[in-house]
Amino acid sequence: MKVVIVALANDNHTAPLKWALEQAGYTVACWAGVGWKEGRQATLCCNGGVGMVLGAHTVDPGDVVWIRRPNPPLTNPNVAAPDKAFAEEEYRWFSLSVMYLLEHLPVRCINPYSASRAINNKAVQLCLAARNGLNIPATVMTNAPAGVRDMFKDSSRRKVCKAFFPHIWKKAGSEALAVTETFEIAAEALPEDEVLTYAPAIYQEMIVKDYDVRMVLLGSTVYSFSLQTPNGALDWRQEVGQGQVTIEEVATPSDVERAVLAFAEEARIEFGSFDFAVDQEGRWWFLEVNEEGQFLWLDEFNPAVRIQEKFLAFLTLPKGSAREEIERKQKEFPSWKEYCQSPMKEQVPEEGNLAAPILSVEP
Amino acid sequence: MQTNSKRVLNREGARELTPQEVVNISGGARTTTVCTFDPTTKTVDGDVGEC
Repeated sequence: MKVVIVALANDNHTAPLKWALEQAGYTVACWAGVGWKEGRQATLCCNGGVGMVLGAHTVDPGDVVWIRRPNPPLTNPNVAAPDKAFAEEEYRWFSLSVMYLLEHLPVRCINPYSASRAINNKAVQLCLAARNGLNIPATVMTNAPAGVRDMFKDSSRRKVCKAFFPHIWKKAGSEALAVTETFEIAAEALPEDEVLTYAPAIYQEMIVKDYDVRMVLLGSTVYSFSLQTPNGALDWRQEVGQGQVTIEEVATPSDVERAVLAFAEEARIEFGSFDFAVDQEGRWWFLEVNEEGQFLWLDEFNPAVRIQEKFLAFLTLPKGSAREEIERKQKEFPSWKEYCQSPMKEQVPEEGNLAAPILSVEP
Repeated sequence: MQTNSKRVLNREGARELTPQEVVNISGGARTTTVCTFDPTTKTVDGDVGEC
């Protein structure tokens, strides 16, 4: 069995995890997604059986494929100009063929690509969360001004607004940035109707929280961590960026754990990073899940978490392994801290992923 | 929050980062955040869904 990681080898999670797997004696193959260069080429053979070659690696029965961060297809820049649009579309469809076929091979996919694409949708997440017994804040997703105003009629509860997808605005000629984050908004602060049609948004009842929880789903096991910020930030992401967060492992209430596992089964995901708000009565409110979520920052903030070792144990154990097995197996792998101290860390070139789709320049 | 402009609502509510905050998130401290943005190279380190 080898571990195939669909990501660039210098991806911020791939590099340390590949190193740790190899330290423990595993074979790891990285492939970044379809592209014209040799290392990113792919071949699918459908001739009775199905075979797949990704770069220099064959995908073999029993392999574990972690679809970490497939890169967009890369078209050969030398293609004739009149063929460029055709080639790009062919690359896109071929890339999708590879990604969707993986889960039909005799391998374990974390997560199946089709499941990832579906659960990446915030409306689907909330629907599945509620159906499986998780508390969710009342939510309206709309570009209809009447829908927004209707949501704000009930003034007894505070409201927040958030985006479907993150975005960064950069001031022209300056380093100043503005980043989307969840923000509180009152009915009287809503703009005129036309502005509400400029972009759809998510309007949600605000949970007055005691603290946030980041939960990591590893198969049939979940690990929950409280996130505390000095000012009780509504959206903790930027506080993490500023190093202003305290992380401690917390017990997951049994009803929440049951509901999350039911959610995961329905969503067909084995791995994901869940965000909850815990209110002052101790109720856990589901906010969202990221099926490709980052997790090594938990080890950076609190080395006792050992999420790197837990994730690798989950990855290399049979599907559905129990918490005790994960915690027994995790001892085979070096930690994030050990990776940071290893010469390998310095040898990995820094990654750079195009931010263009989430970046606008404003005057 | 002022919402008297013609900008999208989520821009009105976006968090303006101070120069020091920009330095903090673009300082190359990889994996210490859910999403690091480098304004010079216009690159992100992280799943953009996490930013």
